[in-house]
Amino acid sequence: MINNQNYDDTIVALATAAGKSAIAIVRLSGKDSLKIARSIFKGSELNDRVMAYGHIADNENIIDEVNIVYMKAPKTYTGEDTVEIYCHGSIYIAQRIVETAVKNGARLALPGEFTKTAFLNGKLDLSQAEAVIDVINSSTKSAKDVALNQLSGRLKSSISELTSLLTKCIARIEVTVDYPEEDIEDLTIDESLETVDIVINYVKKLLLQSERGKVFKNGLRCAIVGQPNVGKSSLLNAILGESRAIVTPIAGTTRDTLETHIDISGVEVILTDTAGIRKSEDFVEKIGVDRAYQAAENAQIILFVLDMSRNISNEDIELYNNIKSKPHIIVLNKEDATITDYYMQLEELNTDNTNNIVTISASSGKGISNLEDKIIELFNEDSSLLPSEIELSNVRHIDAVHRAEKSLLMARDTLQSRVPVDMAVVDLKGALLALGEITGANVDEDVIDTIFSEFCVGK
Amino acid sequence: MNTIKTKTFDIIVVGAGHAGCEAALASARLGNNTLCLSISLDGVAIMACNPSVGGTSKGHLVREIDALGGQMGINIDKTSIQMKMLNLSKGPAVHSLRAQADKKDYHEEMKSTLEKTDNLLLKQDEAVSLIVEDGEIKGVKTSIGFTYYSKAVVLCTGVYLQGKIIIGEYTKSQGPSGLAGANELTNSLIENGIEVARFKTGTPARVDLRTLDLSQMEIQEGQDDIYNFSFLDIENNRKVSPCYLTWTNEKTHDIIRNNLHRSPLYCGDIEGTGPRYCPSIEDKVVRFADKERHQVFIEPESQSTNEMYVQGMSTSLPIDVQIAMLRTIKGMENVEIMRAGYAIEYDCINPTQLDSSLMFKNIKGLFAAGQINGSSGYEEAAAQGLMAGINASQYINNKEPLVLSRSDAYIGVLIDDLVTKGTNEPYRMMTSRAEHRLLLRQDNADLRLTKTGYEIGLAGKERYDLMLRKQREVAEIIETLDKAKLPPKDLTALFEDCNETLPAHAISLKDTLKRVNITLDMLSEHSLFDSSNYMKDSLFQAQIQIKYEGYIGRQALQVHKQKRMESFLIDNIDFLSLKGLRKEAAQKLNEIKPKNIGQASRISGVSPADIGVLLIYLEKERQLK
Repeated sequence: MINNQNYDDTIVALATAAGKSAIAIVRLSGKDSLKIARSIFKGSELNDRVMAYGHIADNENIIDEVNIVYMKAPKTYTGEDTVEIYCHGSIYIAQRIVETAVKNGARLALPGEFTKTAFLNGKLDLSQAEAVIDVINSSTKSAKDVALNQLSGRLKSSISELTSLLTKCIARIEVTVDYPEEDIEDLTIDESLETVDIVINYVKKLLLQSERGKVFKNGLRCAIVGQPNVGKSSLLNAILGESRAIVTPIAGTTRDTLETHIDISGVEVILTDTAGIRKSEDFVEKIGVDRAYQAAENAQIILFVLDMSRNISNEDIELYNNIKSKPHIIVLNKEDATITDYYMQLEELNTDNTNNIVTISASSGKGISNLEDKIIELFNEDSSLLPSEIELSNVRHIDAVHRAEKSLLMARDTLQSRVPVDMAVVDLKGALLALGEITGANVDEDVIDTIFSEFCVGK
Repeated sequence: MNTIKTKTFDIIVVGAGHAGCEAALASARLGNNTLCLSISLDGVAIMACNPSVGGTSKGHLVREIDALGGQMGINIDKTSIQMKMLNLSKGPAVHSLRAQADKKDYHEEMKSTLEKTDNLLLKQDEAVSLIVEDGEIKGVKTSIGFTYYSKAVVLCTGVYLQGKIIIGEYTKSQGPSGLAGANELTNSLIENGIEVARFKTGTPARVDLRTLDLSQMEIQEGQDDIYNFSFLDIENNRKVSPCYLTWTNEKTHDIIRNNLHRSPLYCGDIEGTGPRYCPSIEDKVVRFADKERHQVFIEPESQSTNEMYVQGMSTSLPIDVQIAMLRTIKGMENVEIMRAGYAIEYDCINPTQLDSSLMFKNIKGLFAAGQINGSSGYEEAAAQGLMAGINASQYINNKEPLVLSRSDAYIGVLIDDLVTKGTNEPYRMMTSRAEHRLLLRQDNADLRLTKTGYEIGLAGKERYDLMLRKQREVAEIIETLDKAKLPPKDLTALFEDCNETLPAHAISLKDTLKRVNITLDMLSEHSLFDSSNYMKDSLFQAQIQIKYEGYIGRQALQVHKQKRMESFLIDNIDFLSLKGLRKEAAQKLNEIKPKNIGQASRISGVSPADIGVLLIYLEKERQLK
């Protein structure tokens, strides 16, 4: 079957580098850009090249406060109608906006596609052609790796189950179409509807989970836990290699939990920086502390942070006792001032987890890669750490599942209108093709293989 | 050997099977001096396997061949002994016409068609080598000592190349149906740099009608409605012959299982790749062990013979096993075999060596069509033969090749699949291979293709005018129905009769027709529409276009997108020299040499990113010019 991508589609993607700025730009390009922007933007009227202010919303749910500008073709970067949305520089928010645009009819841009479109529309000069090719190649490679890694084993197997259900259903219809005189009973409309409904329900569930804001949460949940001001936020930043959390020397600055999604050796890791856990009277901080306990509760791995410049306190020991039943790593943050007998003091923790002690320097970044290795090691060792829920995380996958849903709904309409069952095949194949993009299935060959392996047909 | 030099032809067609006949006829009718060589003139257009033409997707091919001005549809209409429209309970896209053929008459009819055609010489002789100079075909040499020169050659060698038949332990170097094989041409292909593969197919026994107890079987009649393959009005006043249905049973299966060690398929004597969709009975019994019985259709080979074809029992088991297993079947207890079932292995080429016009990429003027290209089936062969004949003619007359797209015709899907993807088993057409099948219906083949056939010069004026009339009538019917808006009260009887819920407001007749149970016939019956002025074909066509408007529209949109991809043309490029293409993709692209971006994107191993790189390259080239 023919590749799904087309050159008349309106495409959308994050136009700025992920997560490295205060403001991110989501760009739409193509003939429906304005239409799609209008359906997701609530605010002042969009006019050519006039900055507007308002909110991006997914139906009634406001995602972010943004500035937005519509630029009419051809004087745009890509040479097509373009809309740029300036939102807050959070990967999560940007991805939610992209996702909402996809839901409203845009297709997720392929790596390098804006630049490619620009070139094809004569917007870039010839000398840039090779650079454009490099962009396409490099980003494809990494995007592909990331996509594969992000697909958890269970998600992959459940999508494979869906594609196999659909493949069987299509093969069953097709075999009676191509071999009408074999003694194979026709698949009835009701039987087909049953399969379609199963798949639709599952697809809807997948989409709902992704929509509940769990986009980036199907990875390994790691909570950073420790007393106030032991360097938890610095540790998070050191891991991220960027400044995302607010770090100040005043105890109790991180008052809420902060979640960040990162990729460590191909495993998706959700880092939660918790407020310093200490008994607090400050109301706002108290809420933060409660959430921190909750985050620690929900985490699959806990990074228990100790500051080597301070003696181990009773609070440390109490906190440690609270979390030690969970898989954890004891992270010793070693800064300039270090207590000489610190390793002796560690015995007070009474830990039997001595294999999992890592020394780092959050401010210089020393030891961070050891810590990352340790996280992966722990993840690989402990099978209970597999994702507990099956969720979609990758926007490209969400895009594919949306298209599958659309096709399935059309197939259902067809079947319900009682026209001959083979008329639904076009849309069933459309759904299969979309889901096949996630699992890498070869739709047409799979259908034909299924026909010949499941049914005894032919003369 | 002294060779006799004879006159030069425009086009030589090697082989006179279903591909060869269409190729030769198309070539000659387009005004080219044509020679058609056949190993045996008694083998012209023989049906070496089943005695039928058409069926799902194959029926579509025959209609397309006819719409373009080919011969198969007309000749099967004249020689059929039963017609059936399959899949009538399914959607209109998969309605498929199938004819039981009188094989002997079909052969005679086609042979005489060839003989009557101007510019066409039919000769019994075997081509043994190609004459190629500087990458261009110059002619062929034959076994009895002739050298024929031509500007183009079309190879339609069927299963004759190094053909080997296998019946149990017995094997013989031979072509189909007891005809001689062609053992020399393969070497010449290899010497000229053509990559050769080996495929296998098979056929069941033919049995003596007098030894069957037909009363023990289910009779299978044709349909009363008169259907034709050809869009022209072809007369056929023959009597109709029925077929018969019976089944294998556990005894049959036991005999097969007990003799598997003597089956060349299972003891390794067969090296060729057989088709999955054409399994032998031993294959069915082994692979679907829990199936209690398999259908067996008894079909007449001709009205002038007692030979009956035993469909469903294709086999290469030893003859004693064939007899024993057939005699376990109800109604066949005393059966006598007249011709044994056999498997046949043959040489074919890897079709990705051809471009979309079916010309070899490395030898100008050399074309190939039919089973040599790895396809199977009379209809698939004829379709390719027709296109190869047309394109050989286009080539020698310095005209653009005629390439049908995947959205134009099943023929387009067939050829694109073969030349773009290749095949690792004999390729059979299936409706499920056509992604735009709602548009590629058997009922509109003329609307899709006759204009093209007319412009090329193959479809005659009569055919063209008929198509134009149909086109006009369909448009008129749709317009009339659309304009007729009626209030619910005028529609009560119709809706009640058809068991549909009456709408609350006025509705056009066109919209009433979208209801599942309402047909144009019903509208006429209720005197809401006067159909008397229109051809039956036009009425049927209009009804389909209205009823499935939404689906047809959506497919048309997909086609539009595919066409856009196909509008980016690719000239000769050394893909390996393009920076940015992955090596695997570049190698594949170099091998297939796609003509446009659409075709490139269908090559396995070429990713969207590779397509991106290609587009950039094309744009760069354009800017440089």
